[in-house]
Amino acid sequence: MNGFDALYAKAQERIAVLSSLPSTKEESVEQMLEKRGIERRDFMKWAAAITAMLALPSQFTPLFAQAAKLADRLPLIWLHMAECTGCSESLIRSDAPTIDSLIFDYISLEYHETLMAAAGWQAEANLENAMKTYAGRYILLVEGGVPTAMNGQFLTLGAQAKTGLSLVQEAASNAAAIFSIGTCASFGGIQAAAPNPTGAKGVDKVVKQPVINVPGCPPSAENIVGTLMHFLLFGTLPALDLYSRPKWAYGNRIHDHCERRGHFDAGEFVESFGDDGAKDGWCLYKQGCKGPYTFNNCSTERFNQHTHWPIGAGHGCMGCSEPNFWDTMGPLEKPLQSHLIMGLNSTVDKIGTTLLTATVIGIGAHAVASLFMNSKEEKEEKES
Amino acid sequence: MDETQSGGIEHISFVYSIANRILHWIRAIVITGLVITGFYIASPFLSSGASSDELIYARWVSWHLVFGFILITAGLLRIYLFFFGPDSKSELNSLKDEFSLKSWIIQLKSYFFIGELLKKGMYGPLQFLSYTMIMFFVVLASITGLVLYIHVYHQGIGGMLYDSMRLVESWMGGLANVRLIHHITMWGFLIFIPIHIYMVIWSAIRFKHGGVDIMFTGYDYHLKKKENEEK
Ligand code: HEM
Ligand code: SF4
Repeated sequence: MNGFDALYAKAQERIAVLSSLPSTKEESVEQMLEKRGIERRDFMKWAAAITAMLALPSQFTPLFAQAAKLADRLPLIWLHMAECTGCSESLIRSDAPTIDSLIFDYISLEYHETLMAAAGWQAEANLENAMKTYAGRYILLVEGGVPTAMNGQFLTLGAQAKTGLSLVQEAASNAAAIFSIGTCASFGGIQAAAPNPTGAKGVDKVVKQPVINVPGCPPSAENIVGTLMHFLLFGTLPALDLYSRPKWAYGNRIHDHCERRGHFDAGEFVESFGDDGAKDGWCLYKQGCKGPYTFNNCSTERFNQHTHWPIGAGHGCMGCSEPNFWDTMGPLEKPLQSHLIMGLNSTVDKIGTTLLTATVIGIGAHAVASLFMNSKEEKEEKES
Repeated sequence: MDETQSGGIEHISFVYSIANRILHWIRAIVITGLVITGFYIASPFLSSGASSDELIYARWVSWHLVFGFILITAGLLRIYLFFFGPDSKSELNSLKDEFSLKSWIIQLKSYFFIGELLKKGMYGPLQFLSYTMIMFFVVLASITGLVLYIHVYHQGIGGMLYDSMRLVESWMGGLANVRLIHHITMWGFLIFIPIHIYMVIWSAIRFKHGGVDIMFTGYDYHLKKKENEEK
C-alpha cells in the first residue's frame, strides 16, 4: 500500500470507530449548522479549506466533513492556567459565528471555565466527573503556563484550592491527547520571562505524556481547530518539529510568505512608523520585525476570518510563537542592535564597541611603552 | 639573498607550508568581506528607493553567503591540516606550552618587556589560545551561519543540512538566539584582528624576527644581535 492509501484507510478506520461511539448531542451537526444559517455548500468549503491547510490531498475533504459530523464523540477538557484567556478569545470571537467556532461549540466540551455555566463546587464536580467518565478518551487542552515554584502554590484554582500544577498532572494522566494552546502553555509565555518568580513552565515540562504545542499569542483559530481536526480524523499526532509544533502550521517562517518580502530583498525599509515607506507597505525589518526568526503561518492564514494580520496592518511581527520570545526577541519594535544582553543590561554592539575601544587603547599604551623600553635597552646595551 | 642580508640573519626556519599560507590569506579576505556584508545585513543603511526590482539587500546577502561558504571550506581544510598537515607536528608541540604554567609566565613577561620569548612549538601559549579561540569563532560563525542559511535556501546543501541544523537551532534556544550568537561572533573577529596585526608587527620588532612576511614566504628568521655584527 502506498502512503496515500495507508493514510486514507487509517482515516476511514478512525471514522468507523468514532461512529460506533455514543453521540452526546441531540441534534446532528447538519441540523445545528442549518439552524444557524450555514449551508451545506459552505460547510463543504470549510472542510476543503481545512484539508488544504493541513497539506492533505483534496480527496480527504469528504472524510473531514464526515469527521466533523462526528465531532461530538470527542470529549474535550479545557483547563486555564496562568494566562489571559486571549487564546479562547481568538477562537470564539468573530464578527459572526464561524464554522470553526460552531464546530468547536458542537464538540463535546465537558469543561471550559470561560464558557461553562457552572461555578464553584458544581464546576469542580463537573471536571472530576468528566475525567472519570471519559478516562483515556478525552482530549486535554491547556491554556496558560504552569507555575511550579513553591510546589505550584502561585496558582490555585477552585473551591478546594488545588494547584494548577497538580490539576494539569492529574488531567494529563488519563488524556488521549494533550494540546498546549498558546505560547504560555507551550513555553511558559510572559509568566516565564526573566526573572520568572513563579517558576512558570510549559505543560510539556511538567507532565510525562507527549504534548502538542500550538503556540502563538494568541494562535489563530485555524491553528487550534486544525490541530483538533487532525486528531479527530487520524487519532494520532501530526508531524511535529523539534518544539513539538505541528509542521503544517509552524513549518515555515513568517518571513517566507510575507507580502512585504519583495521590499525586504530590494532593501526598501520603513525608517519610522508613518513615513512614506510605511504608507507604501515597505518591509518592517528596521522597525524590529521578527518575521525572519519566527515560525508560524500567519502570513498565509491570517486572523479574523483570514482578513488581516499584524504585518498587514503595518506593525512588525513580534515573534510570539517562538520559545521564550519575551527574553530573546525584545525590544519588540527595535531590531537586534537594541536587544539587551541579560544581566549586562547593554546591547551587543555597545559591549563590542567598548571592548574594541579598550583593545585599541591597550594596543596604543603597549606601543608607547615599547618605544620607551627599546630606547632604554639600547642605552643599556651601549653602556655595557 | 645577497651578502649584506645573509650576514645579518641567522637560523632561518620554515614555519608555514604553502597550503596554510594561502588558507590564511583566504580567511583574511573572506572574513573582512563577511564582517562588512554582515554589518549591512544587520542594519541595512543603503536603500535602492528607485525600484523594487533592484534587489539590493538580497545581493548583499548573496555575497555574504559566497564568502560564508568559502570560509567554511577554508576552515575545514585548516582544521584538517592542523592535525594531519605538514606543519602539524610543530603546531601540536605548542600544546606542551599551553599546559605549562612556566611557559605562560615566560610569554606574559616577555610581553611586558622582561626576557625573551622561548617556546617549544611554533606558538606561545597565549598566542596559541587566542588562535584557538578565533578558530572557535570561525566554527561558531559557520554553524550559526548555516542555521540561518537553511531557512533562506531549502534545496541543495540547505535541504541536506536542514534537519541537523534545526537540531542545532533548538539547542541554541530558537532562531533569535542563533542570530544573536552569529552577531556576537562578528565582534569576536573585530576585536581579534587589530590585536593580531599589532602583535605580529610588535613581536617582529621586539624579538627581531620575521613579521608579516612569514605568511608570504613561509620562512621565519632571526636578526643577529648587534655584538655579533661588530665581531
Ligand atoms: C566571519 C564570519 C561571519 C561573520 C562576521 C558574519 C556576520 C554576520 C552578521 C553580522 C549577520 C547579521 C546578523 C543580524 O541579523 O544581526 C549575518 C547574517 C547572516 N549570515 Fe553571517 N557571518 C559570518 C559567517 C557566515 C557563514 C559562514 C555563513 C554561512 C553560509 C553565514 C550566513 C549568514 C546568513 C544566512 C545570515 C542571515 C541573512 C538573512 O537574514 O537573510 N554567515 N552574518
Ligand atoms: S515585514 Fe518582517 S516578515 Fe515581512 S519581509 Fe519584512 S522582515 Fe520579513
